[in-house]
Amino acid sequence: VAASVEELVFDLSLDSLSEQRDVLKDMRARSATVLTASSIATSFVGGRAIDTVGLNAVTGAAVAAFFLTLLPAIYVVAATAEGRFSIDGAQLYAALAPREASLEDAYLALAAEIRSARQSNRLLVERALWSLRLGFGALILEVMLFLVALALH
Amino acid sequence: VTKPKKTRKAKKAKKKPLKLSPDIWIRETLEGQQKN
Repeated sequence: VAASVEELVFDLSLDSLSEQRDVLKDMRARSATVLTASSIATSFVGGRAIDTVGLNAVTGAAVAAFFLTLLPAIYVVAATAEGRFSIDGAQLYAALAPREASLEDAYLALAAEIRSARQSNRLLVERALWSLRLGFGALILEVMLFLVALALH
Repeated sequence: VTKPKKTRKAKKAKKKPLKLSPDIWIRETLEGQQKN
């Protein structure tokens, strides 16, 4: 339980930043899941479809969809954008100590900083989510196309 | 009878909010690698 309004404000701000960080953590895990699922689907259904039907328009489109499923994993590894999710304690002390700030002032200043960090992180999270959506969509399309290719045979 | 002088309440001095440098943040890539 917060001992003051300032502490409550800081706690709530910190919680919102932690939640944003958790979304990114989930993103990393899900992009690995898409990669695994896509590899399994391609090796089982895809291999069979290409063996049976050969490389035609449908299987070709499925192979293209497979490459799109790699996108989230590639984006996670290759993206150069940076987010701000944690504070360097030593730097914070260096900023606060010379000003002789009270604990309440520090709580409020940090709450404002966290708000601005959360807003600047938003673009990073949104881009990552879009790459994941694209990956999942491509995975569904890939499996469907391989199954259609097998069904039409 | 002299009226007692009205005393003005001392105004609370407005404090300027503390502005922190962006250097306090640890930057992190999407992959999870921390940079400082």
